[in-house]
Amino acid sequence: MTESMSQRLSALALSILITSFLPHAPAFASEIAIDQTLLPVATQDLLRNDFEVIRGISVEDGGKYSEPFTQIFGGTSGEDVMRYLEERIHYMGADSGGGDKGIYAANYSPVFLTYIYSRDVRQSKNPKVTKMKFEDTTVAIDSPRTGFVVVGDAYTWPETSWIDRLDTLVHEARHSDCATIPDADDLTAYQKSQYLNISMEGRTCTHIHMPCPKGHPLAGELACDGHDWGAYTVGYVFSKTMYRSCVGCTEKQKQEALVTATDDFSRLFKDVQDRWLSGNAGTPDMRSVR
Amino acid sequence: MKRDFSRFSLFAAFAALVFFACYRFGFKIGFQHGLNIAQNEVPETNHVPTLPSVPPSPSASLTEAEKEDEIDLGLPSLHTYREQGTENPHQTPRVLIDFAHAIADHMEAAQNSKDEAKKLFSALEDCVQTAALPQARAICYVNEGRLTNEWREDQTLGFDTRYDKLRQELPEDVERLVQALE
Repeated sequence: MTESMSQRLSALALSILITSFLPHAPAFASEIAIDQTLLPVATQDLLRNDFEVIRGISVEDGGKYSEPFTQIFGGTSGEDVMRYLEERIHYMGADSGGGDKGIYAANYSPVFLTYIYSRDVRQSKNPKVTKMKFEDTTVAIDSPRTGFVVVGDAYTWPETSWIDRLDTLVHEARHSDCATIPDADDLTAYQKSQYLNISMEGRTCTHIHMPCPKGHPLAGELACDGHDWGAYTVGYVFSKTMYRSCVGCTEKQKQEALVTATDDFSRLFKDVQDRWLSGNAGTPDMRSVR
Repeated sequence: MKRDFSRFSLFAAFAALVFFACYRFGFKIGFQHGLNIAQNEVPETNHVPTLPSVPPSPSASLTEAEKEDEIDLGLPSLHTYREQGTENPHQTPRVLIDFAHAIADHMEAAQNSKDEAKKLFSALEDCVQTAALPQARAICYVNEGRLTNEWREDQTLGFDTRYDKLRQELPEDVERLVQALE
């Protein structure tokens, strides 16, 4: 048995052990297709297991923590969270055919911006659509709701926490939302990697990340959000709610949820944090063009 | 010529001796400085910033025996956070998850034992005041709040006074994170 195989099996065993403490719902088939050819078996199993854990989530209703949770997921049950995921993730695939070492997870929906830039701004007669391999076929990313999410080896690493994986699924799903197609200026700025020039409205199409500001521990990395209700905010709400209201979580799981929520919130620009803390972030737009 | 050569050899030997002494002495000093930097943080540039003075934590006045009994939470380093965050920007850096586990390992005992609670509270207090990462400081403060709440009946511990005092001293970025977690 190779070391990586043994690590994957340990991760799976650990995950099953952890989730055995959580309330479980009966195993339902998910509408999210998992690549059974290109993804390692351990990753496929872990994903199925994670979906089942999500279905079993129970959040105490009525508290102040559950309000933004309900605004995002449409309710406080695990079924609500799964419905949110199933509307936004349709394929769980592998990057470059077999899971890149170290890659954690990514949603390919933002390449839709390149497609519409080519189609609408450059007015190309034959705009190039990114196609991803999925089992023995290909999937064209021609809509933000194509929902093609890839996972790599880091997803099954034993040190990757349970809550971080769930938080990531919720985070990646948010990249499939685009309420309004950005205008030509925003699309051009995106193509030129001039992210800070993109308007607030433009940023919400596939909820693209911004470079972290000066002074942030990840300054310069595309790992922060400069608009309200982006992918990091959604992850923060999910993890914070798990920390405050998870029924049946162990102390270790609560602490993992706490650090994940803290880290997510630290990825928001200062003005976004301000609006959130003062209650001026409004309500999330969960719609999307198709 | 032969005399010149022996004079040159003598000079060369002396120069080598001086060079060796300087090298050893200089290297030793440099190595010590390197260790000091590593214990704090690796600076991004050669400029070593002046750190703001931090009030001494209660642990500074402990005896040797008490210090041995202190809890080491293994505060996450800024350098490791940045390294791991750059490698996988979407993943919560593992250094924070390890830190969460270190706190969890002590929290259950601290909820049931006064002595353990005192030790953990001091370790968290130290973390709030000295951790390099704002996220770590906020996490420690939130956990202090949990301990304060857990032991609110026991006024001899003085957790609430220390907790309130720390709140006044939180930097703005840490205060925001704490508010977001309340």
